[in-house]
Amino acid sequence: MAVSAEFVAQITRCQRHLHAFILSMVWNPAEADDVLQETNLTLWEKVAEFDSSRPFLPWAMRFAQFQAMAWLKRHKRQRLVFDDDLAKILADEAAMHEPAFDVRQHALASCLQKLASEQRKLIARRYEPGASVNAMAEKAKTTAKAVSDKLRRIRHALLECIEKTIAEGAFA
Amino acid sequence: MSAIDTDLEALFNRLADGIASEADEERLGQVLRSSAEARQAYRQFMDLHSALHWDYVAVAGPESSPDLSQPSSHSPPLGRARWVAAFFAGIAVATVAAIAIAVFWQNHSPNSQEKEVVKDAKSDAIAALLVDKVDAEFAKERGPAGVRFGPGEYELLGGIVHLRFAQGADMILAGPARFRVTDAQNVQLLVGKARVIAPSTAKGFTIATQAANYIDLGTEFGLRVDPDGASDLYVFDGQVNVADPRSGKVLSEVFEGKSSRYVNGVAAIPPLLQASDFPTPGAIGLKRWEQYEQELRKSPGLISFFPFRRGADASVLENGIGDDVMSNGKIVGARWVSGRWQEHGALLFDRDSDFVQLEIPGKYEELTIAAWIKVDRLDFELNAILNSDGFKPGGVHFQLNRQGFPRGGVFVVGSFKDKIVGSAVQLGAWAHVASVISTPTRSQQIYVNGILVRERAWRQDEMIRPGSCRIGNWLPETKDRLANRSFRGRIDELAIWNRVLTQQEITQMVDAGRPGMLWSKE
Repeated sequence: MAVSAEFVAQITRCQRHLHAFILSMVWNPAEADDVLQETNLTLWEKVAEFDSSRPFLPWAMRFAQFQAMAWLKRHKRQRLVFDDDLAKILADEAAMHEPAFDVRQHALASCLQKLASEQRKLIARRYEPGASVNAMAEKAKTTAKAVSDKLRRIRHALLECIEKTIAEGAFA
Repeated sequence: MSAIDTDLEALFNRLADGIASEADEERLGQVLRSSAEARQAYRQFMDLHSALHWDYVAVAGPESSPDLSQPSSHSPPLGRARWVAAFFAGIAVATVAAIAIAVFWQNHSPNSQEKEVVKDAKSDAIAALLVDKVDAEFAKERGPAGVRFGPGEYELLGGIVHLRFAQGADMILAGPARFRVTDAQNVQLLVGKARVIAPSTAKGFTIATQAANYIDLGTEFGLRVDPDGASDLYVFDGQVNVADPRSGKVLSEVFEGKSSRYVNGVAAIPPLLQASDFPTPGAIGLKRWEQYEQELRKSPGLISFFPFRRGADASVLENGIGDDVMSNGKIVGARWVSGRWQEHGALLFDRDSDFVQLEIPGKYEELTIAAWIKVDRLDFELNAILNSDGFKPGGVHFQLNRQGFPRGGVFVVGSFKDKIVGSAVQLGAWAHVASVISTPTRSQQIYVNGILVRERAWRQDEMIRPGSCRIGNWLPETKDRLANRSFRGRIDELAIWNRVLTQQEITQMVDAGRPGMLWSKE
């Protein structure tokens, strides 16, 4: 019954990374939350099988991969995109880039501060629980594409800022 | 940025915003398969998409429960919530620590900006998971969503539940109890009895009560809140600080073996500890099994049932059914130890001379043998769970080979075919093994944890005559190459039926007898 503090710390540490990977397969953040919860439950069940001398993330990522594929199959989604092979490649590559992931997250924190207030508000509305681009468009009496285009520019600015921040070594 | 990058980025955005077409999806599949560079761009985009979502939900993270004045004053700061708050204020305080401290599961909960999502908060958020329960009954609309406990109020009408909070604290609650979950580190106990076991990751785990707040400093303790508001603390291990619920001031530090009582922030003399008030995690599994045991005894065709309860005579393995068909077992060498749960007995077989001798008289067309075992080592080519003495037609053998695969059946003259279809028993973990023998169909199935692992078929007709048997060993009659088949490990339940049990029946037995909810069948 006893679960080591080490395991709890590891599972806590990799939550963001697992979520990002799952999201790359299911695309909707709230649905990725659900798959993450299922993955967490599986990890708790498999705690006895974890070999603490091996890296945690690749082990956990494998369960995220299975849970995400199972979720997509259950909901008959993304059949044109993912199969087991591609899911494995994405999971392997995500686990491999663990250090870069952390560095980019740090950089993002500073980049978010550089956004204009209007841009921050738009991001906040897009990512609040239950939000959708369609609902935002309806409210603003515009098209979903127009809203998505605005978001695209903000995301693009953030991605560029992350690259620039890392290049400048601000978070080395 | 090249044209293809811009195109791809636009595609990623459409996917993220839920406005992608089928053609978009097909294209994504193609580019991800063909280009590592595209996969990197996609991964980085989705990392951003995830981070924006992840950090947004933190802003709706739990604030102080309105009924608690100082619920979080002693818990670690929620880094993510603080960071996002700063983000909205436009203040540059994003520190490495703020991001590195990941809150385990996100919490959607009441927030002044987000009143409309409050209704859904309980079903979406997770502060703790239900990891085990027995007889648990929650009041209507005051129970968890499946196994998930989000922020909100809960009422346990009866039974026992085991919650694991996201930062590692375990809370075992005995009903009736009312409590309010704030987040992964803060609970308010309105009334009821709780045992808390907190690893170092959950240091600071706080239970607030009307009388006082209890801050765990890496420990194990019991806390009882009476309906009149008095609360009693019993520290089993480590240290708990008691704080004034209004000012947050530490009123006392309570150490291992000590207790305290507070009524409205005022100290009083605590009553003596009633250990039964604070069930352990293992007690849940044991209670579930004890209930099942009552049903098992009524199971049709059960001819013998050894619950491995140590009786007045420690050298007797008592047959738990009142049927005279079979005698008790005689324990030779094997020692009494604890079983699946601390309070449940088991026999430890660790020497070549350890065994239990018993008699299974009669002739049977069908037979099912089921046992809970925990194997320490597999020292021999064959390691006996229950074997008829010698080697004569009609005898039964149920044993593990050196790889941990169960094998054996009824001894028949002539050839037989074995087919292994599943996995072996793992060393060091409790496992349920069942052997189902049918002579009319001349076939046998062996299950490990309810999963079929081996099938056997034979040609010759033979009745099953177990006769004189040994648990945990084998008595060879003549010189045998594999004479030593001593079992190394624990056995804490053994049952025998004169009929075939279905896989469904076996699975029920496994589920009822599993050591805990986190125990895995595989």
